[in-house]
Amino acid sequence: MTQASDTHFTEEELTAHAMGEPSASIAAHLVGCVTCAKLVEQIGRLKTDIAELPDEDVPASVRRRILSSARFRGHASRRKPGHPFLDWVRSPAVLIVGAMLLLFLLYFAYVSLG
Amino acid sequence: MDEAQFNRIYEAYSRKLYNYVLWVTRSRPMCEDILQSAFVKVWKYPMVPQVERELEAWLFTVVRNTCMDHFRSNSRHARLRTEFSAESAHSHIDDSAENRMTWEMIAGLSEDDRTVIYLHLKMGYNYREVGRIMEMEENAVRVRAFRALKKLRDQFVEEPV
Repeated sequence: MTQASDTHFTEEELTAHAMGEPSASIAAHLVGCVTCAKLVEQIGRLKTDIAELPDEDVPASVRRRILSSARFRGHASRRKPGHPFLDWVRSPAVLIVGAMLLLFLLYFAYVSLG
Repeated sequence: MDEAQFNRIYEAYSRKLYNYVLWVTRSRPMCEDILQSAFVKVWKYPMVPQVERELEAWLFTVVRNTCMDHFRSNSRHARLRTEFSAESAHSHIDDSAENRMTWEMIAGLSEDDRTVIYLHLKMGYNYREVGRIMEMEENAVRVRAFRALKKLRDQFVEEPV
């Protein structure tokens, strides 16, 4: 073993190196350290095996179900778009303020006329 | 979102999302329910990200959250079904002995670990991006990935280092 291999890197550091966070010092160490190189090679093989697991196609029945459900629920839950001003006028806060203003005006008229 | 945009999103991403949910749940009926709920949510969203990579990450977040909701609302039943047994693990398309072994190893991981491994190794997201999708700190994702890989490697290798 070379001097570089006397002090091994931690498994976490070697995993990070193998998983796409390369380090120059680890790369240099791996040249002379069979133990660490083997671990990195195992992680690399594992990565490849997982990445190469085949994917499935979405079954046509699922596609039909999703598209029809999205359309149905989408249309059902969507309100017809109103005029923005009318939407604002109908908001609870505006209705409460309007009611208070009306009460105040009625009271004011009553006091003025009385 | 209009119907044309929804169809475009469905065409572009449904396969990836379907395989992600299948990867996490290992149950086709559950996968189909979750995917349907997730796409209904997507349809109702008034604004979706416009940049492709951000849109894809956002879709994974929606689907992942739908999975979590599904697991929570069907907790016991769902857990039992997601117990990714050796038999169900390889009820996949591919029956080669090597892939079967890989599926069986993945069976031993938690749902979150499977998500990290899928997003990082299959989809190529870095830890920061996986963290954004999973609403986790980047470092927490890194630690989770390390532990999941260690678990897999311990099963994978005949003679551990």
